[in-house]
Order: sequence, then C-alpha cells, then structure tokens
Amino acid sequence: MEHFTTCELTQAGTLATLEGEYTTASIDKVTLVTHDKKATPHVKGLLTVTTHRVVWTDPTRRRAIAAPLTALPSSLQVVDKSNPLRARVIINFGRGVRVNFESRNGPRDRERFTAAVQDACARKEWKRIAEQKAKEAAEKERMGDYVRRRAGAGGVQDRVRMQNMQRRDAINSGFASIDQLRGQAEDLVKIARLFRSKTNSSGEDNELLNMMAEMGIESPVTKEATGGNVAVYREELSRQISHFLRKRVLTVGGLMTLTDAYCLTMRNRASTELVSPEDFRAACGAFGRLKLGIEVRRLESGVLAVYIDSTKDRSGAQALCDMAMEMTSITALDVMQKRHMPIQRALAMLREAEALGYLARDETTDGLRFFPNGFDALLKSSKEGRA
Amino acid sequence: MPPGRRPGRASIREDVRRREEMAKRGAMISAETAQHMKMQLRTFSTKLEQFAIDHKDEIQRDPAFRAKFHSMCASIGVDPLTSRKGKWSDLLGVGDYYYELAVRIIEVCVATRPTNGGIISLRELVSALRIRRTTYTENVSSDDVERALAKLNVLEGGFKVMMIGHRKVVQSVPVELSVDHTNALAISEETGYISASALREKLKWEKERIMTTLRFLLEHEIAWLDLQTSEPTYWILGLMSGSSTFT
Amino acid sequence: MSDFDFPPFYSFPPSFTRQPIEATRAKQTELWCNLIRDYCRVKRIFWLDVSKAKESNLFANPAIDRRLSDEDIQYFLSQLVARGDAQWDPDRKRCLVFWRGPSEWGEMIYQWVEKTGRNGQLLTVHEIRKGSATIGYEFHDLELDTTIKSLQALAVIGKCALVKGDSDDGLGVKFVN
Repeated sequence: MEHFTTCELTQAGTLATLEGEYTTASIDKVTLVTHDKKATPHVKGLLTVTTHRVVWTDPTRRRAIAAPLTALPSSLQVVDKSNPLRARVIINFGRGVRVNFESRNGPRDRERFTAAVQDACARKEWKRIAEQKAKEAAEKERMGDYVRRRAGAGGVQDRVRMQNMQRRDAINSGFASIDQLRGQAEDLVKIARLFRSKTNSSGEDNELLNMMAEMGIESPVTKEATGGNVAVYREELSRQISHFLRKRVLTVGGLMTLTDAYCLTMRNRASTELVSPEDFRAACGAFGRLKLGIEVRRLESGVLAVYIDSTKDRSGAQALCDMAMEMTSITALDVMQKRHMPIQRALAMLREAEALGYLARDETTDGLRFFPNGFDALLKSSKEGRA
Repeated sequence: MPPGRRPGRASIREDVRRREEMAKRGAMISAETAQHMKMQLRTFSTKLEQFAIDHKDEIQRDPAFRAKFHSMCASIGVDPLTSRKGKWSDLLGVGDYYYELAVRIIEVCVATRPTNGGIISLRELVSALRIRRTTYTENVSSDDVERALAKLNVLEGGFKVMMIGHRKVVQSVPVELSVDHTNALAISEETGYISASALREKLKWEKERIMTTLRFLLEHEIAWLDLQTSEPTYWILGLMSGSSTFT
Repeated sequence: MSDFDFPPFYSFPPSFTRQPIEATRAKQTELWCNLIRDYCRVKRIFWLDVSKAKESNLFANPAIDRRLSDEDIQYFLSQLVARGDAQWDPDRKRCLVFWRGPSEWGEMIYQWVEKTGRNGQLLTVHEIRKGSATIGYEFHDLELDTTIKSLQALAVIGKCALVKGDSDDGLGVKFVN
C-alpha cells in the first residue's frame, strides 16, 4: 500500500507517538483492502487516527503500519462507499485504500473515522506545532530586545501597566465568554437528560452514554459504555500503564498504592500527556479483563493498590541473587534499606527467591542470611575470578 | 371484541404488527434524537475549541477565571475534569492544570508525612504547593486544591478533607480518626499544642480517655512531644504554619 | 565567619525534646544532623567542641526558651558519627564534623594537583594546607585531621601515596596520574 510504512509500537503494543502527536479516534475491527490482490490482507485490526497519521495495528498488537495525513489531498480525503450490508469508505492515500468497518457498529465507526480524519486535516497540528515553536523563539528574541532597550524602572513600569490593562480587558471578555459557553452547554445537557429518561434500552444508548461521558456527565452507567472515545482511550491507557508499572512495582516488592502509582506514572509524562485520576482508575480496572499480568487489590487498611504476583516472576529473584553476590550475603534488613520496602515484604521476597532456587539460607545466632545459590551463581562467580 | 369470543388469529397478528410498528417508530425517534444530539455535540465542540483559543491562557494563569468556569460547570451539572478525553479537557486543556496539581499534592503529602503523620491543614498544604511552584501552576488557590483533592478520591488512597475546629484539614493516610481525636486536635487551634490539662478543662475528659488519645496521636506521628514545659505538651505540627518546610 | 540562618524546625519547641516514637525520632535526627553539618559548614568549624557548642546557640534557641539536654546532644552527635558524617575524639569531648566528605576534599586537592601540573612531585601536607600556591582554593587552611583523612581517601583509590614525615604536617604526599 502506498504511503503506508512500518510504524513503531511500544512493548505493550501501543503507538509510539511523535512529538506533539496524540490520538483523536481509535476504532477496532477494521480491515484495509488495496487494489493489489497479492498483498497481505490487513484484517480486523485497530485503526487509529492521530493528529499526524492514520495507523493500523494488527490484532496481535505486534505490527503496525502508518501513513501521514500530509499524503492526503486537500479535499475529499475520505469518500463513502457504504451499502446497506457494509460500512466502508475509501481513504485517498495514493490510488485509494478501502476501509471496511466490521464491528457491530459499522456505520457509527465510519462516522467517527471520517470526522476524525477531516478534523485532523483541517487542523494541521503538525504545522501548528512548527509555527508555535518558531513563534516562541521569535517572542523570546523580541522580549530579549525589549528588555535590553527598556532597562530601567520606567520601562518596566510601563510594561507592567500595559499588561495589567490587557489582562483586565481579557478577564471581562473571558467572563462573558463563559456565560455564552454556559448557554450552549446547558442545552446539550438538557437534551442528554431528556433522552436518557425517555429511552429504555436500544443500540443507540451506548452511543449516547459515550457522548455523555465526553461531556463530563458521568454516572455509574456511563462508565460501562464501550467503544466511545473515552472508553477506547482508557483501554489504551491500561496497556501503557501496565507496561510502565511492571518493573517498578516488582522492584518495591510487588505492591504499590494506587495513589503512588498514579504519581509515579504522571511524573514520567509530559504535561500534555497527564490523565485524570478517573482515567487512571478506570484503566487500572481493566487490567484483569485485558489480562495484563497485574491487578488491583484492596489492602486491609481499605487503600487500593496494584499488585503483581512476584512468586512467579524470576526477575525479582535474579535481582536479589545479584545483590547477594555483590554483598556476599544479604539479610531482610539489607533488602529493606536498599529497595525501600517494608521488612515483611523483604523477607517474603527473600523466601520466594529461595523457593525458586536463587538463594540459599544460612541461619545462625547472628540471624538469617541469604547466599547466592544455583549453578548460574557459581558460573558467574567463577567467570569473574572470585573464590 | 365481543365478550365470550376468543381472539382470532387475525387480531393477534394485528396486535403483533402494531407493536412492531410502534417499536420501530420508537427506535426511529431514538435514532433521530441521537442524531440531533450528535450534531449539537459537534457544534458545541467547535464553540469549545474557539473558547479554548481565546481563553486557554487565562485558565492556566487566573484563579478567579478558573473559579468562575468551574462554578458554571457545576451549575449545569457537568464535571469538566472527569476524563482527559472528555471534551473539556481534550479541547480546553482545563484538566491538565488539575492533574498536575493532584500529582504535586500527593508529593507534598508524602514528603511531609514523617513530620505531621499525614494530617496537614489546607492552608499549610496550599502554602507548601506555592513554594514548590513551577511557572505552569503559579497561582494555586485553595479552591483549586480542593478541586484536585476531590478528584483524588477515586484512587482511594486515604485522601480526604475534613473540618477540625474551624479549619479545613487534609488527611492523606488511611487512619480512622475518631470524634475524640478530632475534638482533641481542635483544641490545638490557637496555640499549636494540646496538653492533658487542656483536654480536662475544655472537654471534661477523665484521665484514661486523655491518655489514650494523646498516645494515639503520638504513635501515629501526628503529635511531637515537648517535655520542657510544666507538663508535657503535644504539638500538632501539621496544623502549624511553616511545618511543611521541614525537609 | 558568617551569620547563620537557622532552619524552620529550630523555631519549633518540640524539636528540642528527643522524640519517644521511633519514626518521629528518625525524622528529628535527620533534621538535627543536617543542622549541625550546615552550621559547621557556614562557620567553618571542623572540630566541634561540645562544651563550647553548648555556650553557642547551636543546641539552644533562647527565643523559644528551649535547649537540647546534654544527653540529647551526645545522642544526636553519635547519630551523626554513625552516619559516617563525623568522628569522635577518643574522650568524646570533641567531634570532627565532615560537612564535606573526605573524598570530596580529596578530589578538590587532586584537581588542583592536576591543573597545576604537580603530578609526580613530592608535596608536604603543610604545603597543601598553608602554601601560597593554594590560596583562593577552598581547601586552603583546611583543618589538619580533615586534610589527612582526605589524602587517605585518595590513597585508597590509588590517586596518591602517603610518605611518613617527622610530624603530621610534614607528612609527604606523592600524587599519581
């Protein structure tokens, strides 16, 4: 397929985004078809529209291909080719790629895709970012000049006075804008509420719930809606978070409070990639369903935590074995101090490593120490010339 | 239908057909309304985008503007901070400010826990956040902090806001504070400390109850002991101004 | 000699009572250890004389009418020693405070040696401490015991060799590349 090239994925199977890029729509069960009958089919994958590209990820989430939006014509990027039996479009990359929407909500997916592509092409985020950067650089240059020329109390005072005046005007117009916005938002909320009260259950309900979720009208019911922007976003998030947290949680003994996990995850992201605590909570809630090898547990104190069963994990045991080789032998206190975990957890980890054969214990009057065990340990130490 | 006669096949079929037609019409109405709502939502998104272009800066920089904005949302029953992917956050970026603030709140509470046992007055928390500020979140107001704290509830990490005496206090540990505990803590409002005689005078407690409460506060690192006064005094650092600077 | 800016915890009365709860005491110890080191750094004190210190306002805050007891002073100084940030005199009347670690001093001295091309030369401790060539450097006029410890730290990593002299100050050092 022309214009489509292999695209990078993270280990968790999510998109490795470019600078300033973010996803605007994610649609599952999409098949891409080209003119070339001999080409490998792209069946029922995840189609993602971002500010910069259209990405297709295969169902195993291991391969992905992407094409830049800049390769699309300036108008008629997407042409509807649906019939009563199937929802599909042609997206005008090169000679055209047929996109078949094969989920239960084909028509709706088609709508979302079309809108997302058209919006992204109109917005040209890639251009805006470049222009913004240039503008910031120019502004910096100009401010530098201004300060240099106006050094002295008078100049600074003038500037501050001007800024205050501008701010006052801006605030007044801002408040008026809020009132305007309020009117429009209120109408929307009214319709949503009215509709909700009239219908019982139909296929459209899910769509409505998604819209309500996007508007910030959440209720226990909206949380169960699937397939909408918020829900798909949270599922993606679930994979990203599990991938990020895995090693870090194992390092502190397999248990970390949700609050700490949220803090840690956010600190690792740019300020434009932060998520709401609800997003985070919902994403963690999906761990079990998506079988990501990590789960949410409630501790005795009532606090929520993420938990990884470290008894099956060997990397933690190997790390302890390495520590034991470095220090000749280790105690629970050593592990507690070096890894910042409660002492019971440290002792449990040592026992688990022993059970897996990575450590051997030695109990003396001085206390309980653990030595490196196993053929690997012997091999390593003899290689390094140690006794 | 004349009495005594059972419904014939024809009339049953008629019933079924009528019901089907009504369901279909109902579905059409639903579909229409859904279509209508979709269009409205799209229009609204465009308006929101325009609002963002005009006022995004102010949301970041001006606490008064933020307050007005949030009260508007509350009055129509929407929560603009629910999801990063919700229209408000996605287009207006109104969430980013609060998510960043939420993270910093967690950090401050964790950092000050050894000093105050996880109990800190809202004023002191705001003060600590202002000191650690970055240009991104310059003007932190206590409204902002309360909004961010409300969001943290969903993580169930033991964070909550409560009244102790006349002050709002933030708790960040999952410890159950009884009425006795909070009443005792309230006594420290004016001086920063409590003592056995203060509890006896003001709350009329007997010795056992006093000792149990004071021991609880010490053991949970909420109170620090001072033995250089006529009777031992228990200082509640989290409620004293300046305690958050002990790093 | 500069005026010392005491940290906030110094103005809180309970800071001067050794806390009975272990976790709180650990935090208190950290605060006192940092205070002692900072105080010594600003006042350029190497050997902290305990009785002299008692007369100063390091361990007592007259503004709030609180002071650390003799036992508590001993306690916190011992904690400082236990962390490797200080060393007791044999009779525990004085404490050599490492507000800058010996290896840090050592590194500074070594960099001066490299910069001035003195590698391979035999220098005396006296030269390093009091010589005109080191004027302007932070380790100029560095306290004797601290200097020796720093050079020992360098010797351990093979950056210099110590040669015995008649007195400590006459101790010789040869720096290695």
